[in-house]
Amino acid sequence: MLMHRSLGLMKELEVSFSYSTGEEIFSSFSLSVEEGEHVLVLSPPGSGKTTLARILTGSIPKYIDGNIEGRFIVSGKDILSLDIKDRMEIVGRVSQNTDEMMLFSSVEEELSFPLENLGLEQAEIEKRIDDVLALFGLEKYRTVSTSELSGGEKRRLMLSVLFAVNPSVYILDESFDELSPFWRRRLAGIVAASSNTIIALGSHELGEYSTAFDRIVTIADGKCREYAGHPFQAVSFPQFRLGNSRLAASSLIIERKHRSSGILPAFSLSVPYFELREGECVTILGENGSGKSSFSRVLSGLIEEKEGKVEIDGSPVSVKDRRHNIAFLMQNPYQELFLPTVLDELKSTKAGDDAIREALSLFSLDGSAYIQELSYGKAKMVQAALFYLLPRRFVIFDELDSALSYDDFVRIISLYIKKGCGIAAITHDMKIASMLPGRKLRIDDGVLHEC
Amino acid sequence: MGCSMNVSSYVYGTSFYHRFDVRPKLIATLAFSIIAFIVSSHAGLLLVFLIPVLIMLLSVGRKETWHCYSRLLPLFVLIILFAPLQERSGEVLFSAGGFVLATREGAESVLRIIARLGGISGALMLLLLTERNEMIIKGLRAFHMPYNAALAASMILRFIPYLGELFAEIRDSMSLRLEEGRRGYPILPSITALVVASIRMIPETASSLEERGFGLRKKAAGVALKRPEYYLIQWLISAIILLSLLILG
Repeated sequence: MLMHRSLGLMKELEVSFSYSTGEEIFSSFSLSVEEGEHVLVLSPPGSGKTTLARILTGSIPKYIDGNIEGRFIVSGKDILSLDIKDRMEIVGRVSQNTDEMMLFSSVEEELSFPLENLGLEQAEIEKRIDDVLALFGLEKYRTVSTSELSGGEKRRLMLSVLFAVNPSVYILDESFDELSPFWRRRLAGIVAASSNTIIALGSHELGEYSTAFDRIVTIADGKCREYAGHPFQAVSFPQFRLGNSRLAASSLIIERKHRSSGILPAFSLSVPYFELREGECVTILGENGSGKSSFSRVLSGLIEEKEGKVEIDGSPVSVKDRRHNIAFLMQNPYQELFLPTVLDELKSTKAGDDAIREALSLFSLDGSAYIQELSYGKAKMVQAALFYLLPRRFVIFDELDSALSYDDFVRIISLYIKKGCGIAAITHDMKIASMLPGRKLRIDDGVLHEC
Repeated sequence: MGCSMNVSSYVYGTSFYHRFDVRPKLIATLAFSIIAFIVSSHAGLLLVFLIPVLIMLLSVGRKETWHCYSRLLPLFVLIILFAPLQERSGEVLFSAGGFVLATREGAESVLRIIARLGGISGALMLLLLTERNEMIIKGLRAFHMPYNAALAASMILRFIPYLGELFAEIRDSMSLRLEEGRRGYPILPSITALVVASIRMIPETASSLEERGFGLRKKAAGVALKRPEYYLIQWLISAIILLSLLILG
């Protein structure tokens, strides 16, 4: 059930937009939001949510070419006619890709920069920084290097920046993704308690949304429509075909020091025993920063364990050889996509033309599309297609569900099950966790164990 | 990537050099870099190379020191191999079939280059290892560096190491796609990918800066750095070391 609040003045958005390539994204998209209203825009990847966020904050058309017509009236002023910096106190966003918003080396610098630009007194800057760090549980990271934060912690940092600036309209672009269930509930509570106007953008329904938003709309054919709901369909995955191969890790200790902080203890993860059979699926759960990604990196040979061993079929496997056996789909797809077009990426796997054509079709991709023009969700589809073409027996999905619709998520997992891969899926979404077949593992207090 | 990934070079510590105020540290680094070009005696050049090594060992330990200097080793090897060929007049040390490979003057020139390059690089790395980026910027602004120049310096301190890490990411990503039996990573596609990714970052970074009010700046916030304990003594120690080096050199 959605919540309701007392509301005031209206903010009117009416916009048409097409990229310079001619691709039309919005055609008379019209959305009215009342002062203090919390609206959720729920639509599939590639429907234009991030484009909408960029139009509202001004990065489109200033930095990304396109033809834009329309207006966004806030307090009687058309903010689309303002320069980006002049919109700062009116509208602000948390980007879906947090890495692209990071500008400085430390958490404190990230927070103080916009506040200094607002011309606030030092005491006020300190107060706001203290408040938002406490709000998002980042107090102990104040002087830490931003590169030492996990994906979820980076998300909380960018939320902290937005809440510290406190514009009239908040745009939250997939901001619930990458957060642990605890932080999703917490963010829902923070949003619910906020008197600011909030427009959140999401790709799939989350239980937490119901307590935070007054209204849900969707984007269809470039227009804003009332959200009719997504009828829940029982998900059925293909039958598992258990193979003979077995990936195992035993007595693993993964350790990482926080170089930039003297107060944070070294991160440590212990894995007494982990096993994944070819054709099997396991789900890995855990808080932000608990070590899920680090564990994945060790298994896939991107970093080395401090102690313990990783074996395939009973034989120890070197760090470098793990890369040839285990596919790792990182949390941020752009960390794995660097070539100009989708086709270039798929061809880099050395797969044959027929296989590439099939992958393009299976993952609904356009080979000629430029990677940098893809939505975050589409980039995830490319990432999935890329590793699908590689002959890997095991695959680790690091929060594959974030920014994807449930349908696309189920489609990808089903394709890998049919391929016969052993699947380890990391997720924060309990609905996803419950729908996935197989064993559930969880990291608690630095130890990976069966649920 | 992963464990080794770090945008900032800063290593937390409580050594005497960590406790040094950023202002004498900045001036000492600058002065040391200038003096490195003035000194010419063997003892002076040896000190130019060794002083940063010793302070680094005391400040961040053996592992980090080795990590820093090991990055310079390939450069040193190239200098040792090729620089003597540039200076072949003088007392011959090695020759092959009448072709002079190395002369005493050439060897001394190599040692001078390595001492100065190693010393100056070491001093800069020492500054970055023992001081947070934001403190370096505050220090520069305390010396009245204009705000935009300080911001540019801050971005450089953030993005130059970041590009190194981005390359490591690309390299790892490429290595995850390799066929069985192949090792390493394709160098040319990785460099091309780095260039593409870097170009892609420009509008994103520019937009991000503006969205957070770059150019809006309503009032320049003053930079007030407190004077730490023993502030004058820190200046004095810096001056003594630098003057001694100048006299010896």
